[in-house]
Amino acid sequence: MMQQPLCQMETQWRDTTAIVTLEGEIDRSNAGQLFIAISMSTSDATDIVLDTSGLTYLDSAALTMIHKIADLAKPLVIVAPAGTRARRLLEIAGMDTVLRIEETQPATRHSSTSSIESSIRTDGNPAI
Amino acid sequence: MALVAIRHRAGLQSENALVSRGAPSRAYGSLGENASVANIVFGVRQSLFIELTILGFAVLSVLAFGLRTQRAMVRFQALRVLTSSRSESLRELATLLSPAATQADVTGVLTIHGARTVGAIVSNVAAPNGYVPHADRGDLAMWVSPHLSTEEAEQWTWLVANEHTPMRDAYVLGLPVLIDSHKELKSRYPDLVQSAGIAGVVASASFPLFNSQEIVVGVIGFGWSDTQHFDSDLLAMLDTASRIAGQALERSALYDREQSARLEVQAIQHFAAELSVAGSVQGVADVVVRHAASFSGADSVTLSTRDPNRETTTLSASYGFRANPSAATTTTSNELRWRIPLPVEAFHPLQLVLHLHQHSSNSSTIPSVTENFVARAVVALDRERRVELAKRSADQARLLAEVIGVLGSAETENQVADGFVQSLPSFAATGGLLGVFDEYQKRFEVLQVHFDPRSDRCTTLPATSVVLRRDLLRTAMGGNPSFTSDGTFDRVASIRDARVSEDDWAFATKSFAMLPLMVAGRAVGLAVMFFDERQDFDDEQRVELTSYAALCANALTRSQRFEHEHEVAMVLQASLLPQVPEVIGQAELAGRYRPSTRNLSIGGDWFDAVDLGNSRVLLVVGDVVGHGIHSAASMGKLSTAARALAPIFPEPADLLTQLDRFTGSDPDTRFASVAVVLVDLSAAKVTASIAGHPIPLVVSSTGQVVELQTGRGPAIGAREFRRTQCETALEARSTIILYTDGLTERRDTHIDTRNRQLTRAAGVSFRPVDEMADHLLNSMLDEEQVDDVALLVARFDLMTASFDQSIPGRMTSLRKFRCDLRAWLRQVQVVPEEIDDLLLATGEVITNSIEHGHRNEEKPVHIHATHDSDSCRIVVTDQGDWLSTHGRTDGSNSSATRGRGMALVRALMDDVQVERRPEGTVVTLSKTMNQRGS
Repeated sequence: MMQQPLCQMETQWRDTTAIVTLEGEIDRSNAGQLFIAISMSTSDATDIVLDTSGLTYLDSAALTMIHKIADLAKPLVIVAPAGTRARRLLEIAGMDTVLRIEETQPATRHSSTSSIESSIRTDGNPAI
Repeated sequence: MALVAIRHRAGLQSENALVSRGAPSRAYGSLGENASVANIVFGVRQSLFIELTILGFAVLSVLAFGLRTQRAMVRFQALRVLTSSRSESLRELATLLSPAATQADVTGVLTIHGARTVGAIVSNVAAPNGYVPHADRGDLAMWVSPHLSTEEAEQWTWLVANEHTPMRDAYVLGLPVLIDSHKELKSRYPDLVQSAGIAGVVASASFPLFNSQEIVVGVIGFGWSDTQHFDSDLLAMLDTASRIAGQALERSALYDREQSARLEVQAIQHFAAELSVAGSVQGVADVVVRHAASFSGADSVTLSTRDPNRETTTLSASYGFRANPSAATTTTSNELRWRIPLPVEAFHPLQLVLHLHQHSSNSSTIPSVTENFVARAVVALDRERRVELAKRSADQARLLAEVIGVLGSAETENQVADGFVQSLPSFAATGGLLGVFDEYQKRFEVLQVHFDPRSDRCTTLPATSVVLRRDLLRTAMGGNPSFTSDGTFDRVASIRDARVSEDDWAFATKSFAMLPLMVAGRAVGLAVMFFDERQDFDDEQRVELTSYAALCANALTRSQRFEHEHEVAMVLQASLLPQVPEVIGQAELAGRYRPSTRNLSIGGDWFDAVDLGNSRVLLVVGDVVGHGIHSAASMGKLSTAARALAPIFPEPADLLTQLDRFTGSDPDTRFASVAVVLVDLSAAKVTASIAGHPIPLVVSSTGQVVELQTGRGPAIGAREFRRTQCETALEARSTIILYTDGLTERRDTHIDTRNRQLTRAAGVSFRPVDEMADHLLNSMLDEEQVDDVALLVARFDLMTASFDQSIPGRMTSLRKFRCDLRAWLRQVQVVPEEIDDLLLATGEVITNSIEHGHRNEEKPVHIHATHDSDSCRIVVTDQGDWLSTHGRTDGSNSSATRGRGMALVRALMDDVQVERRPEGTVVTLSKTMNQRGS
């Protein structure tokens, strides 16, 4: 039986800004894979926007992953609207004070030239 | 040419017709001392000498006339002049020759001892021999004196017909050729001067060898190293020696003939013996060909048939040592070929073809395959062919009988199509397809395509990839069968499958038969048979095929009706089966219905669970006797009646009594077995009664399986029976299993064994009811399921709500666990935000257990959660020590992840207790509920 992937990732581009949208759940089983996938797909980016509003579950491993993305030394914006699991967790962990957190994806100078660059699913299986 | 002329003229001039080669010699014999004869003969090549010869012959012939009777006397006179020493050596030669049996023996003696006998240095012998190439033009085999060098000997292997040599001339003319000196040789045979010089021969004498009928059978040549005068004494000596040699050669020829006749008899016997054990047409054909080759001396032999299309099929072939197999397959102008018809009735025209290559052929030895040989070959081939045909028709008949059986019991269109393709060999067809028209004859669907594996190509092809030609389909709809003797596959259909080339399919088809499957004047389908051998489709075959098509058509319509009925019954059954909710109050339920795989007919099994309110649930499982639509309908009535009556008559015995009455008043309802179980959760008791039904099982939370205490009685429909029931206490988290006999009954296994199997399967482990139901079905049923099965698994939590689960120690288990815990938390009505926090905290603890406690060793982690009106408590137990991190769970971890993890847990929960025990670590999470959901 085909299982729904645990977390789905999609990267869009606005100029050199990579907008990574995550949907689903992140736990210890897929956080490592996701970090690799995100860092690879954003290696050409100057700025990263991480949209976590579609996450229904995330744990400390997810927070570590976000930390590591912040450590990539690229300006990082986390999209985590109030009331989402991500927002709650970031606040409990106190990460809302050190990271730039937005309600929505920031508007950019060049609008609507986005294209889907890559779509990666992680479902806990070794192959991404 | 010259010889013919001589003979002709001589014949004219003499009454003594000189048709035999012996005639001139007789003349010579009478004129033994006339040395000039030789001189006359030597000039034969030139016309002048021919005339002289003719003159000489004429004279000789006249002289010879009437002298035949005096020959013995002449011989005596010749012998008289021999010196005693010479007669001694002649006697020695005769003695040496007497034991020489074969041609080789005789020539051997002559070449070794002949020269010594006459005082010469070499003696060579030549004679006709079948093995000599170009024997037909008159070349002779030659045996040379061992004194000659190897090169010399090789040069004289054959005495070639058209080369003029003294020996050749002596043989052809039947007269001696004498060369007395080197000068003589030089003038008459200048070509031979060199070779004679090498051999050291100066003078020579060549004498024809006569048999007793005065026919020349060979020639002997003697050579001397010095000039010879050929006085009468020497000539007499040479004449006598050649006589002795001629007779020995004749004797050897007789011996050889006798020997070869004997060998032929032996060969025929051997042939007959091999034929008798050959055992098959192919075996016989191989034996015939092999022996024909050795009998005839042919270079290659082929045994083949020619069908009416003049197509030749080779049964067996053999290529001789000399023949090049590739050359033998193409006929060249150099090749001679004999066709010997073998009149075997059961075959198409059968013939034995013998090939001879020109260089080795000899018009005098046309391959002789004796009548005896042919007759035996024919008898053996005929016998084996008949045996094979009889065996084949017996096989076909047996196959057909089997297939008719298959068709008779076919319940689906596909089974009919299967039967059809299985039947192909019995009609000697190599392939075939069967398809059906839809109701409106608008669409044609191919059900099966098959080709015989002997065609050595792919034999299975998706039926959907075969597209029949429209014109053929139209013809088929007309209802008339058509038979095409010359037609390839592509005239029937095309293939839409990239992996298959049509060529692969076209190859095997030479003829095909299109057989519309007609029922009541309407084409319901079409069967096509392909044959890789051309078929003439005689009347008998046509009748056979069309009657078989009629059989298929009947089977097809029957199966269509059957399938239709089955479909209706399935729909009916599905619609009649009650929908059972997953949860009724504190009861978790899992119902399963699995139809039988065997006879494709549905049964009357059902299950039901009715919420009676006040924490009471009624469980019903029943089984109406029989199969098919009627049973399904009865089941529908009975299950509806039970459901309708249950709220009024909740006590099982009462309900069964009502059902007894109900079936009594409704003649359509058949006998049924039913089990009724009433569960009262608030009173923690179970009441049960069964009517001719398997007893339900109870599984305790620890996995103990027992039969439920129950009142027992006969099947529903039995009158005048007082139903009883039994009441027992219900333990917390126990499971009740109700099932129909299809689950346990199996023909080949005793029911007690099956019941033990069920008990084992039920007690294996504690699982959610869904998994348990599937587990029971999977462990009790295999592919072949004779009866249909209804199963109902119910578990009761009573009023103490708790969550209990063991998960494998893998990160990938987290997801499923979250799902289960979320479902339970929702069930006990925890608000969504609280659920998320509880899931996160528990997830973090489990992650720690797997990662740090078990160090990824995959030991199970157990989670027990309890809930009451204002709090929730979750206990996570693992088998690890947490040793390396235990002292630092307060947030001072070196690991950022873990530090963050436990910090989160503490932030989310009201209380966190970590307790290290020898057998593992126990973490207890507590959370006070702020609000209650509605």
